[in-house]
Amino acid sequence: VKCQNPKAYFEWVSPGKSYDLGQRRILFHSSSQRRPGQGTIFFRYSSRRDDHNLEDRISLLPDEILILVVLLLSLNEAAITSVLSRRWRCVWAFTTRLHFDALETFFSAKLIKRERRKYVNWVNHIVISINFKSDIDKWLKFELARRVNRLVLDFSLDPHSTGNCRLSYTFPADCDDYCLLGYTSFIKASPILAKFVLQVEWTSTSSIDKRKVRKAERCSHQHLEEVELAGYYGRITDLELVMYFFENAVAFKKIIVDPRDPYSLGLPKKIKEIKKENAARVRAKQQLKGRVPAGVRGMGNEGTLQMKIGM
Amino acid sequence: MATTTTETKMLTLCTSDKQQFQIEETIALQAVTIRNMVEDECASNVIPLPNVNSKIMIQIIEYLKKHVDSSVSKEDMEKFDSAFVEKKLSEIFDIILAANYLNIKNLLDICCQRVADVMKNKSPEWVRRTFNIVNDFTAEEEAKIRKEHEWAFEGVDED
Repeated sequence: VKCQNPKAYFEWVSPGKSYDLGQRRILFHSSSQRRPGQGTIFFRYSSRRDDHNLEDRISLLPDEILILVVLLLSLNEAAITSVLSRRWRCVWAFTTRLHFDALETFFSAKLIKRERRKYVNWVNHIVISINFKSDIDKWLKFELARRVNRLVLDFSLDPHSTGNCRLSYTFPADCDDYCLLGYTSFIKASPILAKFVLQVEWTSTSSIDKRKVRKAERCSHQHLEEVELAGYYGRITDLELVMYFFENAVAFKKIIVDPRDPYSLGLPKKIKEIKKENAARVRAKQQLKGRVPAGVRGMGNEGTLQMKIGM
Repeated sequence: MATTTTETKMLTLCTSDKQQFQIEETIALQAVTIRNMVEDECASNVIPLPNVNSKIMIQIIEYLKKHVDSSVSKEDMEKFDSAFVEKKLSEIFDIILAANYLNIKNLLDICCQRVADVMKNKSPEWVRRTFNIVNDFTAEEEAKIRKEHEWAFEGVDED
């Protein structure tokens, strides 16, 4: 074995063995490349202090420890571990905490259009690669399968901005115009969902439209007991969503309709805003008054319905 | 060490190589496994720890002694922790196994963090070499997994 400098060529020696050369040891990697036309193998010289220990200690650790380690890695880094060896193939899939934070990606408005699709694709890819086959529905299925207790989907572009946060997720097909019924597809995708909370921001364009009440496809929700709708403005679309719950949630116990803008709670209000809230409260009472008892009783609901309008 | 004051209760821990360590109970009880043994009264005078050798036990006691001291500031404790894990990986693995067995959560966490830090943003080749992980995939299998996780391989350090 000749060794002059760290990038030396060596005669063929048994791969994976270490040779003591005074204070330092040389590690020979079996994965090193044989150079064509040469009887020698190029070996990497390394002075890392653990090199003398050629045992694969990490792979011998119990599963729960490997999972602990992988949990401390970013999602990308964790996924990379799957290619290390068979032992590692599925360790990363035990990651119980998937943190998809797109804030950085979505920070620049210019990037949003291009990046959003990319991001959605990326998240989909990860979800699919852990064995799950319309975007958010699928995420929900995935989360529920992993017994996630609490799932928060924040569709505002930037939660810290007090500016104009619009829904940044475009719902497919039936909710092309502004319509809350799109959320029913989440609920359908979540058969064991017990509580659903929706906060709708009041925008300057919040207005009372005069179209007919539409209905989403019926779907019996056996476990949905509690619904909270914050930001009930009295738009047709608000009413549609409440009606959907009345008609489809058979285990319904409680609904809270809060006719206040959830994004301005606790902030000082102008007279205009107070008027707006009062008007929303009146609309909520009018719209829901006649509809609540009939709809719920007619479904043979045994639970009591607590209708709380305003606070 | 045989004499104990009436106020400080001592426990004797016996490691796999039959070495005995006498330490204050408050220090030892930070290890949930030991606490359970003491609470269940299945430990008499000597607590046998067949999964921990004396070399590792010394280090674990060093850790526990520091962490039982409530006068140490958070900052100093973090400094101690980061210095504590500056060990060879093989030693870290020994401590991980012992901390897992003894159920000392913080110690397990900082050691796992140490291992994770080594893997951060590194190519699989690098990780394999560092930890001596033998790639037992066939070339086709590996290519297939890489393709599945193509997104993950953007921006890793090759070496």
